[in-house]
Amino acid sequence: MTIRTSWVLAVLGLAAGVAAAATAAFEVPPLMQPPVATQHPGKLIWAELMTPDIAAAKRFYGGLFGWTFQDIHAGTAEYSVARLAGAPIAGLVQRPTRAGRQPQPRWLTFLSVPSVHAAAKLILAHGGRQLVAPRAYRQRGQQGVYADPQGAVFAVLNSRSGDPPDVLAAPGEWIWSALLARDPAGDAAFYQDVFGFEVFELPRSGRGAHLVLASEQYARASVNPLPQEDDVRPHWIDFVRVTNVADTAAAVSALGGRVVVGPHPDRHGSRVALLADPAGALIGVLEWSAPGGAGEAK
Amino acid sequence: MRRLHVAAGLAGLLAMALLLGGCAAEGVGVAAGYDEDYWGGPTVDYDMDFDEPFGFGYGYGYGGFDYGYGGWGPGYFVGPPAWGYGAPVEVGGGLQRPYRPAPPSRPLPSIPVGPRGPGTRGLPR
Repeated sequence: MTIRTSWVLAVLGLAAGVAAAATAAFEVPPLMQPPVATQHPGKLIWAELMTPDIAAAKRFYGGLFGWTFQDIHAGTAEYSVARLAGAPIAGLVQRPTRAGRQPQPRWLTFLSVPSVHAAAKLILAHGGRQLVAPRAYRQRGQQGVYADPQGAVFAVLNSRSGDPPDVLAAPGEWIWSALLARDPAGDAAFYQDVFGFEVFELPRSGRGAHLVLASEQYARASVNPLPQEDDVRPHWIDFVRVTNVADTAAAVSALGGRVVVGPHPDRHGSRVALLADPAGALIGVLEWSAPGGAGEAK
Repeated sequence: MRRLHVAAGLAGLLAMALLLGGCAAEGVGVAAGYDEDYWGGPTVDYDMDFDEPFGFGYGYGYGGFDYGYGGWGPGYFVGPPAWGYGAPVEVGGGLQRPYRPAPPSRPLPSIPVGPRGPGTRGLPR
C-alpha cells in the first residue's frame, strides 16, 4: 500500500462516514418482528400521535397504559416509538406549533391495505383527499395520509413485516376504532369502496345511522353520527383496552390530561370513556369482557 | 512514518466496511403480501406536517381545554358489538343506502377475541 493510497482510503472512509451521518435514513421499526405472512386489510394496525409536546405525551401515556418509549432522531424529525412488552404499539411525532396556525394535536389511525398506491387511487376516486403522499420506510413499509369526503383524517399502511394478529387485544393495546361522521351512511360507503368492508347496521339513534365496518369476519370499527352538529368535525377515535375504565379515568388528571366523556356503559356491555392528553389529543379507553372470564375486566 | 500512513488507510477501509455491513444488517424480513415494487429508497425524514382539511373543530385551544365536545348521552354508542351478539339487526326495509349492507342472513361479527398464540407479539392475556 503506497502512502498516497493509504491517505486516499482514509479520506474516503471519513467522507463516507460523514455522508452516512448526514443522510441517515429515518428508521421506524417494523410492526412485527419476526415478520408474519399475514395482512388484515381494514384493520387498525398502527396509530401515531401528532403532538406539540412529546415529553408530556410520554409521561401521560406511559403512566396510563404502561407504555415505554424509544426515541428516534433523524433529519428534522423527532419521533418516539411507544412499546408494550417490547412490541411497538404506537408512534409519537413532535409537531411544533407555528404562528398563525391552530395546533392540531391528534391521534392518527393507520388502517392496513395490501397496496398503498391502489388504495390511494380508490380514495381519490371516491372523493377523498391526499394529505401526505405515499412514502416508503425501509422497515415499516409504505404509508400515506388521507381525508375522507367528510374531512376525517386517516392513514393507510402496507406493513412490510405483516400485520398484528387477530387476537383479543391485551390491556394497553388498541382494541377498537370509531368514526364520528356528519353522514355515517355516506362515509360507510366511502370506506366500503376503499377497503372492501362489509357494512352492518345497528339500531338507529335520533342522530342517524350507527354502522359497523367488518373485514375478514371481524368487526373493525363503528361509524356513528357526530355527537353534536355545530362544533365538532368528523374524526376517528381509537380505543385502548384497559382493565378498568373508571380507574383509568381517575388517573388522567394527575397525568395532565382530562376526561372528556366520563365512564359509561356502551353497547358491548362494558364501559368506555373519552380522554384528552395534556396537549388535547383525544383517545378512547374501553373495557372488554369475554365469556368464560378470558380477558375479563377487573 | 510509513506505519502511520498504512494505519490511516486501514482505518478508512474499516470505516467503509462497517458502513456497508451496517446497511446490510438493516434489512428485515418481508411479509408475503408486501409490494416491493413501490419501494423508493430510504426516506431521511418523517413528513407528517399536514393540515386538517376542514379545520380541527374540537372547539378547544392548546392548553386551554375549552372543550365543546358534546355529551355522549344514553343510547349514543360507539363501541364494538357485544361478544356473541350473533343475530342480524333489522333496521327497516325500503331504506335507501349509499353502501351495500351485509345480507340480512349474516350475523354481526365480533372483534377478534381469540387467544394469543405462541410467538405472537405483546403481552400474554
